[in-house]
Amino acid sequence: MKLKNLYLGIIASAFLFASCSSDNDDNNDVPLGAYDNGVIILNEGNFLSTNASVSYLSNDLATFQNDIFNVVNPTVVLGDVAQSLSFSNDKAFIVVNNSNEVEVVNRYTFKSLGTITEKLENPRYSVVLNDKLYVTNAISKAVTVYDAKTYAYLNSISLGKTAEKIVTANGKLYVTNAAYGSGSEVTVINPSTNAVTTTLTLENGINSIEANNGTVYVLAGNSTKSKLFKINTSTDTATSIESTTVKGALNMDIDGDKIYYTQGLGVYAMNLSATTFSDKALFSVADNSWSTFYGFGVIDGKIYSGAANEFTADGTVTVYSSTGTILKTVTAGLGPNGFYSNN
Amino acid sequence: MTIKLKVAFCFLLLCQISLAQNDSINKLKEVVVSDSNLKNFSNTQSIQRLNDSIISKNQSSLTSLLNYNTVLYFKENGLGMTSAPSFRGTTSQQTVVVWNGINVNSQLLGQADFNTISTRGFNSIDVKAGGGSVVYGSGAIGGTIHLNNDLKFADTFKNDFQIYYGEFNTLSAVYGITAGTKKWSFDASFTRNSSDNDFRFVGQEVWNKNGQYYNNTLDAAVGYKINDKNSIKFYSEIFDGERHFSLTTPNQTKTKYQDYNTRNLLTWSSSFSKFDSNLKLAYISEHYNYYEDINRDGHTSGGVKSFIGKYDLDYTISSKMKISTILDYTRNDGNGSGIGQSIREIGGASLLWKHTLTDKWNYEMSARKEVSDAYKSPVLFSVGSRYDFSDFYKLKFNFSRNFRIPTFNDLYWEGSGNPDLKPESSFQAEIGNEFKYKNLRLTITAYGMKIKDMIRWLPNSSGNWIPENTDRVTIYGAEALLGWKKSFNKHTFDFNGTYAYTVSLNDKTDKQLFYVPYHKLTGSASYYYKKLSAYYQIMYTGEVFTTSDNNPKYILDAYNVSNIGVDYNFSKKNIFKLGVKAANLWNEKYEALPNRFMPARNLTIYLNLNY
Repeated sequence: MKLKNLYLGIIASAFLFASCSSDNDDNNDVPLGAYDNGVIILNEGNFLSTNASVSYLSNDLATFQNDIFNVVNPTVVLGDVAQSLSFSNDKAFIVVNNSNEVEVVNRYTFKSLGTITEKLENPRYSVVLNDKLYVTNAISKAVTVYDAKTYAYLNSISLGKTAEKIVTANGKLYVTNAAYGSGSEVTVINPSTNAVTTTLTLENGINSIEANNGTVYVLAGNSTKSKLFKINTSTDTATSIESTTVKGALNMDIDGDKIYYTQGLGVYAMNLSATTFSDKALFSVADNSWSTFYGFGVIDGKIYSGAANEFTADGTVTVYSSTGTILKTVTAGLGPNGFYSNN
Repeated sequence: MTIKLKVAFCFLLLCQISLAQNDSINKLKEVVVSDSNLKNFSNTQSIQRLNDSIISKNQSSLTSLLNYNTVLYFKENGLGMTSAPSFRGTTSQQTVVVWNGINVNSQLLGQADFNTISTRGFNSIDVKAGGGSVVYGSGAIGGTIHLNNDLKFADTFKNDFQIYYGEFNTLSAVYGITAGTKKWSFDASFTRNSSDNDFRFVGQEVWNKNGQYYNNTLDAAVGYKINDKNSIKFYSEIFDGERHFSLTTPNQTKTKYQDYNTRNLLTWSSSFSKFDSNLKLAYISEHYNYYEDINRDGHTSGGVKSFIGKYDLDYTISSKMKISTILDYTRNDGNGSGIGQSIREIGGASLLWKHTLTDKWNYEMSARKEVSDAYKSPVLFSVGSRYDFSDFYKLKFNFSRNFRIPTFNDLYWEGSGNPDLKPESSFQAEIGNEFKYKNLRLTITAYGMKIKDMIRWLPNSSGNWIPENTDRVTIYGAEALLGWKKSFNKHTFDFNGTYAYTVSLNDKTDKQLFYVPYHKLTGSASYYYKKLSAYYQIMYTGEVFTTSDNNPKYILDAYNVSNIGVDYNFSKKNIFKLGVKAANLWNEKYEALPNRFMPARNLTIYLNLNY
């Protein structure tokens, strides 16, 4: 965090510069110096092309820059399909799916610190626990483990089934065994033994998982219902609420004391303690482009959507207030798929 | 780049280069063409013939042959990898490969992979621009590529052996035999292509990884003249190939793809009084295996077996009028990962009319209607006329409606297939001008078309990709084909050139379709002196957009690539030719698609024997 101070002056000048120039599409290609106090936007790029990129939007929505990885590291190629990102201390781990790489950067300067390649086979998501980086892999159906400081490969935990999203709570790892709208299980791993302790069978169509205050929340949506599970991480048992009117809910994100999700073109929210799904949308977005919610996130009460624009043109990121007022619209990179608060 | 481009234009225009490759369609009476409709009902459109001498000067893939000699633009995923054309600004699925008169585009993908077609087994390859759905069915919108095994009924016995060996351990070898009497004709060949394909990218310390490939093709054609009125012909082709897909990033998981395609066609041609009939029975199969990780056993696979029956009856009313009907039935039987087991049946009827009004003026009209259990089909038609003003100038006009039906994947893909899809359909018109002056031939064709209901896979709001009839497209452009040949003493010069200007706009956005260049130009110059021959080829492809919003950030730069070759025939009577050629002579650094660099200058030596 001390790094932040080093770059304060640079931030100030960057803000000045930004305010007197166009603040959206016309990116300067000079590093801003610091990419905190804002939201990191991951643009996955086209499959089989090396056009994945990262964009930055400040919390006050005033400063925006595309291609920050490339601007800071002009000789390093981010790669082919930037799938996800996780933070640990002052580092960010960017999982580049089809490149079989994890790019490690300083989360504040975005300077490249190294590239992990060993044993990565179609990596998907990652999380850091006790200075170890855990990465899920689609082809090997395994979680591979690395030293989060030296990036050395340590070992693999074979699951033998789909390994997708991964979170940590109560000193344990929770991995969803579901992808592309099908799959109903969550595997619990004990990191001290690297063994699977239990597997929870929930509901088909698991698409989101998030740990919050020691509880793991899992959202499943399919053609007949939506179901939200709360996993008690002491006992690894789950309770649930469900809705058959709001079917196929996606994109769960917890912000403050609210659980946000989407269904079709609507954005919904309910309290963490809710006993029923909310079936009244906060607002709906216009269906003017396909896959409007390709990326979705809620940060400090603001709702971020990443429209993939059919993957044939740069994506559009729109920031909404909780009532659906558009606060900001920017053109990001190809296929914006995730928003990560970097404070 | 700009200097080289100027040189290219100068080369083509000032030097008066040319096209109209050999106009020798059926110069010899004893040659029987495999596709009589191409000869009989395509007088109002432009056909460019690539004969065997052009075929042998080019690389063995259909991509390379057409890229350097025609107006087609190719989206090639690296040398030897999957490759699909854009003809007249249309999509890959709107160009048809026609094998001996039969449409052989993949039923799964709707398009042909031009790197899985080896050219050296064919006597000639014709490139017909414009609509052709009345005769060739689905996909004949941009144009059709005709692969011909023509049979020769004359006393002959020839062996042909060609071997090409070049850098990156690239081998192309073909052995062919041609034998015939006045009653029998036999033509067969076996082709082997393989390459390590591990070239270094120009100006980088990076090599093409996991790009190795091989393929084997067996072609055979047999003809028997039962009597003056009846003959039977049988054509067969087997293609077996494996390609590793080259990597776009160094640690990417290595994948590979296997193709196994068979084509069999039996035809019975018969003539009685004023009738000519042609019965064709074809059995075509396509099969693929895809390994998403070459170090693991698992793979996905799929295939379609097609049976096609076609009956073609021509009635010659008089020497000036001819009417023809085609009745056909197609059954496609698909099976594989993602599509399960699916069967599609299509029946069709076409009526064709050709009338010569005067010595100088004729017109053609044709129409077709298909009935299928899988989609609704519009009435297709073509009308055209040709007027020969003089030996110097001929004018052609053609107007047609064509279509492209949904593929097996579009209709049947589990969880995504859309059974309500309509075929894509087009209205298109063209005006062709043919000039001929002494040894110079010039064809200039201007065209325009409207295509609607373009099928595209789009992600919906729940993240599922589904094919939809979405876009409307307006395309217009012009093509010029130029040819010039001159001999004096023992010297012969032969120039050919093509140029295409293409505007292909999405009606909603008014933006140029991505992966359609505005400009493409090819040129070749050959020089023959006694038994020596030398040739130079050039291909210029203008910049292309890679995004639908034509964002300049993602433009793929124009490229200008030249090849040169020389060979000498040591035999007095036959052919014993040794040669060498250099591809990408000027070491152009270019990508055919993003992240798909092509090789630097590389050498090939070759030997051709024909006895």
